Amino acid sequence: MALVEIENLRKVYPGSVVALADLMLVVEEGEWVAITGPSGSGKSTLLHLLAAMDRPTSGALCVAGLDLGALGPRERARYRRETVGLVFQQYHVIPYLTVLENVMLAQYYHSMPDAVEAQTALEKVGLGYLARRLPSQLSGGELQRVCIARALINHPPLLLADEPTGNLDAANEEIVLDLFDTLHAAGHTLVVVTHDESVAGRAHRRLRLEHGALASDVRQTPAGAARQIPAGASAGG
Amino acid sequence: MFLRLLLGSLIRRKDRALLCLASLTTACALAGAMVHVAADSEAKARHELRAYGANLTLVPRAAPTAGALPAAGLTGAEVAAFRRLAGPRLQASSGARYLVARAGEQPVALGGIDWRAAPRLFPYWRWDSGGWPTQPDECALGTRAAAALRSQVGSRLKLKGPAGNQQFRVAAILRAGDAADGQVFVALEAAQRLAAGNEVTVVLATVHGDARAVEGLAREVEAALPGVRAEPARPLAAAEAALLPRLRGLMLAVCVLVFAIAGLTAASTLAGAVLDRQREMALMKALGAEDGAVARLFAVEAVLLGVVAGLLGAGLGLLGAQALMHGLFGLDATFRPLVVPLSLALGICAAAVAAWLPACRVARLEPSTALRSE
Repeated sequence: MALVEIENLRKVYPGSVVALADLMLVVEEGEWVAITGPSGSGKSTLLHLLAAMDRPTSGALCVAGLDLGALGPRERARYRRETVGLVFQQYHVIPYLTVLENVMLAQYYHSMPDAVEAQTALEKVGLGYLARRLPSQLSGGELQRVCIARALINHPPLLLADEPTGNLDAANEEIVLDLFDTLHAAGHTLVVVTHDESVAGRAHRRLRLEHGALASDVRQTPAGAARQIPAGASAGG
Repeated sequence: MFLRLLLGSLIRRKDRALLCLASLTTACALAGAMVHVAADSEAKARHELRAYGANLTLVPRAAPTAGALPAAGLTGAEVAAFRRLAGPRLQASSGARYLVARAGEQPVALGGIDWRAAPRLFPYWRWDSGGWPTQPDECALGTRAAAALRSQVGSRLKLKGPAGNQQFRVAAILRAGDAADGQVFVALEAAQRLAAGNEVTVVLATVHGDARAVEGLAREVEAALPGVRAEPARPLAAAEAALLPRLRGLMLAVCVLVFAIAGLTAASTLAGAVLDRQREMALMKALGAEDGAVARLFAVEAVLLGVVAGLLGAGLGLLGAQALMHGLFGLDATFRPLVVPLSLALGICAAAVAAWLPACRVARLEPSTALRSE
């Protein structure tokens, strides 16, 4: 069943900079999709549009049955807290809240903060013992795992990650990718923007964007063998 | 969680919070000090004008209005009646006896005054040397008189009047900037002995109240004592009437200006602090916070700072006013309770407006724009 349905999606920034040009895409529930491509190809723009952190210029962008382009500010806020979990490359956190409070912040905006549940989420990413620390006392890899715990605390159907390992060393990258494997195995839908071949190689489907358009759409088997789908015909089935 | 966000931001980011607090407190303190000073300035200015000496002079009705000294005198009964009539309105008064005496062969203008009342009647007298005489046989010389008589503090001076003579010790050389610089002053009783009469030439008085009050007392005195002419010091009254309304207007204008400048400065500091935090706001929105919730959080934080700044500013404003009043007038500032709510209102308004407008602006930004701008 399709979770994300994109039709003729276009995003033009001021100054007539075309970030996405009539993109067509379908992402099924439970897929792990890696979006690759050179800088300026529209990867992050697509992710921000999927997260309802920006508005499309034209075209249709439906996630979980919601037309994101037609939503008002309140509905978009509700969509962000209920439907998506976000992981950023720069592991954005509130610097004056503890690690536990940062995770609880997502609960606060979603429904009710629950310290026990937030602590469990931190333990799942191996950071239960750092719950009372401030973000400034954590390494980059630890912070990224905090962001993953925060992104998952409300059990969103769609996890979006923008260069999640871009600032991590090899050991921490491996930890984060193992977490993604676990989430995928648990049925989460993952859309990950990356430059990193090793990250893209762990995904089950690899999209390549060039100049705002889909250049390739490759499904990968767990063994790494690939099956090519012609660009523009990626109707997800 | 709202409290955790609020307190976390204030406590764990002390530097930024303190900067905003300092800015707001300074604004409130400045405004508070100006309100105190403005409210006190009229009373203090009137007090200052009193420093120019007596504001009411009593002379015999037969005396000339200006120029030469009156020949006739005021009796002790008339002086006592005046003091009874003036009652508590009288701040200080002294009869003065003027005559021409001789020091050796040299004629001198001699004035007898009540040394106890003199400091309040002649507060503008300055001492080149020595100070107020305290003994009955001491005298004070104006600078020109001292030069003419070649006298200095400690010199002996024998003065001869129509009824006798007396030796005095020079206790001080004074500088008044008027006719007193050419005169010799002794105790009233000594002058009366030299002149052989208990009458006084004039009564000099300092009366509480504004020009209208002094004029009122003068009319009462003339009605009650037919032989007495009471003359308010008209230049002083005119100066008071001209100065005080202008002073009031000036202080009001300065208050408004200080309010505006201090408020705008504090507001710009706070607005900068809010704009510095747009990544935080964008993150909150990315996690699902609505625009209003984000703006509200920052506005409440600012208002909290505004309340603390308002209270601190009220206290510091009084201290500032005290320092200003001491520096300008040498007097204490009067605490005015109205300043506390006024300072609180300024603190809260400046903080709320300063935080709310940029917070709303940033909250309306798409999260991706704010996060990318980092």
